[in-house]
Amino acid sequence: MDIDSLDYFSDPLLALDPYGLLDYLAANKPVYREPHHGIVMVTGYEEAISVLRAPDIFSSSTIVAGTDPLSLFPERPEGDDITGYVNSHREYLPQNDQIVSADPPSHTAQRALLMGLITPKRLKENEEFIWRLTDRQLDVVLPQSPVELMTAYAQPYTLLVIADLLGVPEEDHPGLLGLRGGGQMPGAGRSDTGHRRSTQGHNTLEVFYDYFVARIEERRQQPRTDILTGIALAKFPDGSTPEPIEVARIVSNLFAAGQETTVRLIGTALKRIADEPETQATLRANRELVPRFVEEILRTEGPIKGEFRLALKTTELGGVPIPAGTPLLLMNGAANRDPRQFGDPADFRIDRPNARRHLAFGHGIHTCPGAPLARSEARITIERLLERTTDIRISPEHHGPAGERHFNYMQTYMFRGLTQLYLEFTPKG
Amino acid sequence: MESTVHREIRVDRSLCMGSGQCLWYAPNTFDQDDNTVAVVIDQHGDPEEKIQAAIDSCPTQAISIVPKGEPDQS
Repeated sequence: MDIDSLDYFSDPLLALDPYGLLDYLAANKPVYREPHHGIVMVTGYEEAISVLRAPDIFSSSTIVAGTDPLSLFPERPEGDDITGYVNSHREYLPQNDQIVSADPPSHTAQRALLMGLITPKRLKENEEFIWRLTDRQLDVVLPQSPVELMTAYAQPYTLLVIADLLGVPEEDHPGLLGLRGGGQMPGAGRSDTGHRRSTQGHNTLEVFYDYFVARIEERRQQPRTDILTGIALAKFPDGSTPEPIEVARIVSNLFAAGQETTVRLIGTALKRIADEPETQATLRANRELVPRFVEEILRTEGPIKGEFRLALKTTELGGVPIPAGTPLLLMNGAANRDPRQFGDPADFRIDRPNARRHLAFGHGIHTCPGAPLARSEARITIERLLERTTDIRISPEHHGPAGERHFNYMQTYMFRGLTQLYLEFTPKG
Repeated sequence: MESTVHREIRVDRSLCMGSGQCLWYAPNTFDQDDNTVAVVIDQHGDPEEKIQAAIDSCPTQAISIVPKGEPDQS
C-alpha cells in the first residue's frame, strides 16, 4: 500500500471509506508521520493509550485546531518544551474556553463540576422517562416509510433527551435549535477537510452562554432535582463556587457537542441492523445482546475518527521521535481496530469478549462524560424499534438494492457518520 | 506489606460513569455490574501498583482506598 501518496486530510474518498488506510496503519505503522502536513497519526492501541494518559506531554489545546496549529500563534514556538508558550497563548486557539481543549490543572477543576451528573445509576433511575421520549419520537417516525432517520428521529430525539435531563423546558427548544445551527463543534456536519484553518467560529458555543447563565442563576435561587441544578450547585475541588459563565460553558458543551456524535452513533447502528437481516434476527431473538452490539458498533465505526493533540515536550512514541510542537492526530477510530488488541479487527462480532475496551469515548482524564447517556440512547432506541416493528430495512429507492448500496458520509477527517439514512419499517400489529 | 491488609477499595456508585477503565488495569480486582457500574470483586486481586493505576485512571475519581472498617461516606 502506497500510503505516503494518500492525503488523509483532504482525500474525499478516504472520508467515504477510511478503514482500509486506518487498518493498514494500525497494523503496520501505529505511529506514522504523514508527509503532507507533518502530522503524526497515532493509530496503535497501546500508543493511543500512552498519549491519552500523558496530558502533560500531549496537550488537548489544539484538539480542533486543524492541521497546522502552530500557525495560529503570533509566532511559532521553538525548543524542547513549549508548555509555557502554549499556556500563555491559548486565546489564539479555537474552542479555547471549552473543557475539551483544557489541560490540567484547569481541566481538573472544570471536570469536577461534571462529576456524578450523568452516570449509569442516574440514567437507570430515569430509564422510564427516556423510554417515553423514545416512543414519542418513534410515534412520529414509524408511520412514515421510507423515512430519513437522522433528521426525523436521531436529531430531535437526542435534543429531547438532553434538554429534558438538563431541565430545559419544551418552549425553549425551538430557540435553542436555532442557535445550534451556529453552535456546533467545528467539523460537525460541515466540511473540515482540506487545508482551511478552523479559525472562523473561534468559540462556537458562545451562542448558548447567555441562555445557560440565566438558567444557572435560576437554579441557584430555586434548586430542582434536574442535572442542571446539580451542576449549578457543584463546587470546584478547592471548595470555591464557579462563576455562572464557567458553568454555562460546560453545560453548553453537554447540550450541543454531545448530540451530534450520538446522532451518528444511532445512524451507524441502525444502518447495520437494517442492512444485515441475520444481525437483526439475532438481536430480535436475543435482546440482551443489544448493549454488546452497541459496543461493537462503537469499536468498529465509532462517531469520532480522530482528534488532535499537540506535543508540548520533545519525546518519543512507539519508537518515533516527536519534537515539541508536533501536531498529532489521535485516531480512536483506528486504535479500536488494532489487531494487537482486537483479533480480526474488521470483523463485526457481537460476542467479542473485549469489545468494551474500545477507545470510542476516549480514555483517561478527557473520557467522554456523556458516554453513559449515548449508550442508553442507542440501546433504548434499538430495543424500542425492535419491539415495535417486525422488520427494518434499508430503502432501496434511496440507497440502492442489497449488494449495491451507496451511502454518503460526513466529509471530515474527525467524524464518522452517515449524512442520511432512509429506512423502511413494518410496524407491529 | 502491612498497609495492604488494613485497606479497603471503595467505588462510589453515584460517581462511577461505567467507563470500565479500572478493569483494564486491574481486571482481577474490578468488574462491572449489569448497569456497568464498577464493583470490587477481590480486594487483593492484582498487585498494588496495578490497583493504583486503576484508581489513577478513573475518569470520575470514583475509586478510593480507605482504612478498613471506615464508615461508608458515599
